[in-house]
Amino acid sequence: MMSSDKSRWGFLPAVVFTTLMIGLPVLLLFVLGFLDIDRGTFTGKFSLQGYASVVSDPFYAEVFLRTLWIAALVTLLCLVIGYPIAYLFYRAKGRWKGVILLIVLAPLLTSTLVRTFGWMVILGREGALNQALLGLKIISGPIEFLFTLKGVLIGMTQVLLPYMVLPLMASLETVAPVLEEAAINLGASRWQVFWRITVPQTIPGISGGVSLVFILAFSEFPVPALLGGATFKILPVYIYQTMAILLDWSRGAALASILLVGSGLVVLLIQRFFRKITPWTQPS
Amino acid sequence: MKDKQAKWLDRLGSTLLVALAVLGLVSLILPTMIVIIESFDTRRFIAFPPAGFSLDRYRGVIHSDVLVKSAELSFFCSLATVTLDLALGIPAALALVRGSFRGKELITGFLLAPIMLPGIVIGIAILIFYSAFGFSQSIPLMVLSHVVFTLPFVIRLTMARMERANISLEEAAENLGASSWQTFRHILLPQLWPGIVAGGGFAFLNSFDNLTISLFTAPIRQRPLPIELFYMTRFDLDPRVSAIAAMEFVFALILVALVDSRLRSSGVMSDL
Repeated sequence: MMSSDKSRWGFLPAVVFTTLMIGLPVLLLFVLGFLDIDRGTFTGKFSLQGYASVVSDPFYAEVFLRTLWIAALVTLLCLVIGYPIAYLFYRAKGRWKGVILLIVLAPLLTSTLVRTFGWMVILGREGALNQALLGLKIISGPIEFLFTLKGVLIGMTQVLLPYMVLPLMASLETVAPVLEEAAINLGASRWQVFWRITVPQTIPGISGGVSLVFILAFSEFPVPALLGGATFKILPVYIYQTMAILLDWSRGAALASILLVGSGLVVLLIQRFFRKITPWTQPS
Repeated sequence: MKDKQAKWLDRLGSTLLVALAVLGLVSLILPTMIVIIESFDTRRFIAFPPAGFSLDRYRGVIHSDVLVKSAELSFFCSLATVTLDLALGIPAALALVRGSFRGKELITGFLLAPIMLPGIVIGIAILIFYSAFGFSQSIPLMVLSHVVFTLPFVIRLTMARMERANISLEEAAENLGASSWQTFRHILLPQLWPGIVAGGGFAFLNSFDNLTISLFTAPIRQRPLPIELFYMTRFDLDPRVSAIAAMEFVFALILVALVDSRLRSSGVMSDL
């Protein structure tokens, strides 16, 4: 039998691998912010330089806060656009269901770089969007999207949208249609049913989607690096620059630790918030 | 009066919902479509719509040694990544579902945790840790770093199939005298197959497309395709990128078509 003694230790290689390849490295990442590293070699001394140079510099506080609100804005945009998509999927029948699912899954099969490049073609000065707006005479001169916050927000929202829609779709599947029908029979309008019956039942899904998209948005690198330009003020781009161009590894380690802890804390707050507003989902 | 107001609100609300959903759905496919159309342009720069039809950019890609080499490198690295994923992931999934031992939940959580780690953190942590021990950026380090973030997919999808596998079939096979390898090969593996194919396929695509982790672990002189593409778009918009993008998209479609029939019948997508 497969549950014999031989196979019960099958998890060991994976555990050893995960410990060596990521467990210990992440553990050390936190410590490394305290060590003095000069271009990849330890000098053997302890120094608070890594963390101190980050914490004492108001510039990094500004970048951190900006990253925080860009991630929050992208998460909000994903929710506002993603919920209607998931809801449309929930209400759709037959072939339409398949079409919507395909459109949501397709981007996961296309690389982020391809899609980012697509947005560069669309958002450029001579790009598709400006051509269309100029052609329709909605604007008189081209709008600058590339290398601005607008472009980064559009690109990040699109790249992360499937990660919001999929948990919402799964969550809407668990909604009891009986409750919706009952509310309608009792005279509620569709709008009321949507807000008071459907949405509250999907709050666990909203919580999951919001947490996932926030983590991904807070650490997204390719989209802001390409659509925002080399000096776009966002934490992941600065971490890359610190590591790859300035070769300041102790500061890079400190920034990466702050990124990890920062996004973890925000996600804890998000989940606590959603638990608080849905006391009925708590096991009593 | 109140009824009228409610109806008006209903109509406004559903129009708004549909409008937002359509906007979102269009934005999901638009960039890829536009890149594919633009890849046949005759001009030497990127602008939409194309001025004519040509295959110049595709020729430019195929005749570029640098691009072909980096695509090959990415392909074989992803293959190696998936092989390691399966070798580590399948035994782990078997043990975690069928075994009963203390700390099982903890181990499962530990093995799936890397999914929640940002790519940039994984890349930097591995780079710094292994440099300290004298290993520099290299192809093996890049492959191992890709296994870190793809292994959880394989474990999770295989575990989901395992949980649904019928144990009495295995018991019947054993009672009829099958060896444990025969039981695994002919009874259990066919039931796990959809999960393994989906997990392996997803791991392959994610490894093939990965930029953020590779930037820290890949060798400086041999660049995988995503890093090559990153430099081609970062400093100036090389029009050949559109052709590579179109080819990557077709490649992904073929990969999906190959495994689609298995996936569709098994409902494995809901395990993701």
